[in-house]
Amino acid sequence: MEKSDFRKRLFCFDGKTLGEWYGYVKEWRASESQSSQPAQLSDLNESTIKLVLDCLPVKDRLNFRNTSTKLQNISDSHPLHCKELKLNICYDAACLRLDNLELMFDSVENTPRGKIIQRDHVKRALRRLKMILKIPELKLENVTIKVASCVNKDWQKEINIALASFNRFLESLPHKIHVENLRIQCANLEIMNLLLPFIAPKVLKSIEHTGLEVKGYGTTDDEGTKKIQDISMTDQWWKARELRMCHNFAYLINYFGSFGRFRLITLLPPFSRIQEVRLIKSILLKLSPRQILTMRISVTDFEEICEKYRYCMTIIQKDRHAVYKYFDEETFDIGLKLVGQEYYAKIRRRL
Amino acid sequence: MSVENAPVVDVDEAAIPVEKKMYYRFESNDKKEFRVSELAIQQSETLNRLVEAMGYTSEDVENKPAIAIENIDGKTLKLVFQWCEHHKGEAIPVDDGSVPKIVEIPEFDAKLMDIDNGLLFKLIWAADYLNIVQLLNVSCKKVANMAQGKTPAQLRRVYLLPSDEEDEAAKRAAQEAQDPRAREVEEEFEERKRQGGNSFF
Repeated sequence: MEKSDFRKRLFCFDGKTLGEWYGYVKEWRASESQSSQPAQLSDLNESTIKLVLDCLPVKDRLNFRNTSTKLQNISDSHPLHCKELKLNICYDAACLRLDNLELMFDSVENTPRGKIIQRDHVKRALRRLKMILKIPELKLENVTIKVASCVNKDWQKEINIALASFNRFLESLPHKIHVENLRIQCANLEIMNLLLPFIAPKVLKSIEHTGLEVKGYGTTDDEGTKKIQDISMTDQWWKARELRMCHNFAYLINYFGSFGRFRLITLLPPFSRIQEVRLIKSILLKLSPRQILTMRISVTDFEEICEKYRYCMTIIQKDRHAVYKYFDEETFDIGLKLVGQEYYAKIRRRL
Repeated sequence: MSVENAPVVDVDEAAIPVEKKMYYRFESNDKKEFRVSELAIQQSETLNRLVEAMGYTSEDVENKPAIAIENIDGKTLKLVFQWCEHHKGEAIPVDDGSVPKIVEIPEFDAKLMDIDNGLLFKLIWAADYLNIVQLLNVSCKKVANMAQGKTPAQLRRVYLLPSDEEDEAAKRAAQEAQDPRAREVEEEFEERKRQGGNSFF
């Protein structure tokens, strides 16, 4: 029936009982509701669209978000859970990965005419990272940021400019970033210092900081101490439960008192065996009784420590396993080679 | 439509237990009638509560008018009841909060949902309205599968998504077209109700 006919019947009361008329009204309302059944996705109600969003992998979810403002609003009001966000910045390229979404940024690009042009890969990678971090309900489980160091001064300058711009962005962000495990791989504490205050404090469970190239780089004692002092004042630092640090920052143990678990990550030289043992001993003496120190250590070193400090330490776990090397730097031999035995040990200080 | 002519949803005869099965009659908004087993209805929380509240006996089902589902058309309702009959007796899944949701689409469901997008969205809407959790999950998964590997422009085409401008224009048109008429009918209705008094009800 045409709507106009329907309307005529609806408003023609001659000879009609009220019951009949009410029947027409009901019929009309049914026809209205029938037409309100969805014909396209955006007609579905918000909770149903959110169910569809839950079934989408991250890459498709972001594409879906970019289709229209309405869907963007719905998507932004619903949590976007991501297992991993990885940003790897090198001298000539950058890689940004968010679960199944991977973006590569090269420092040089070929134009269609065969010309090679220089592109600012750091800036472009950080711009994409900013776009991701702007998503209000983004829930990140693991965040890894890796910045390679380089002797080139221009590169350091470029990185510093990019980080300053990133800092301004973080300051303007209306929400704190939801990160459960933060992992920074960088020669100094610059990025940790920059990022940590903008992470939701109660959400952050573990912090890891490792240097990439220690030789010729790394933080000098004064700089490191100053940065750690600043970082250790933050709520995020105090509320995280686990800290994983490499040896070259471990001398700053005085600032690690808030962590329940403290894991020492062994690095390559400049740390000699003697220095390493000395460092572990000093850390052990500074541990609070509620802290657990986790480390990988050679069997002989561990036994030496145990012998001397047995009176003040409790071994919680001690797993011995073989250490293999794939590449021999001296002979250039490739292949798995047994190089020694080590312990994966968990210890606690005893008063 | 009479009960005899009503489309009957496929039922596995071998699975019928010895005791007499209880059926309910439902009517879609385009007056199509369906007979659905009590066990199948349990998949829908809304319908299950409704029939429980009504407390119908077998005689009531035959003698009283079919239960009207005014918001869903016959074509969609047929799919819904086919799904319910096929999955009758199955446990209703509980949301464990895992994201992305791991949902597998069984072969029967995949065939059932091999339909055009318009009908698929109606099916999702009906599953949500009737609170059929598993049907809602598999149909949403089907829609999500359609999105995989597509760019925003392709997604707009697949899902017939209006652009922001189209959305605004449609909203304005709907407001202009619907509001005066709806207001007029409501006013007339109230007027007649006042004149007719209680006899109307």
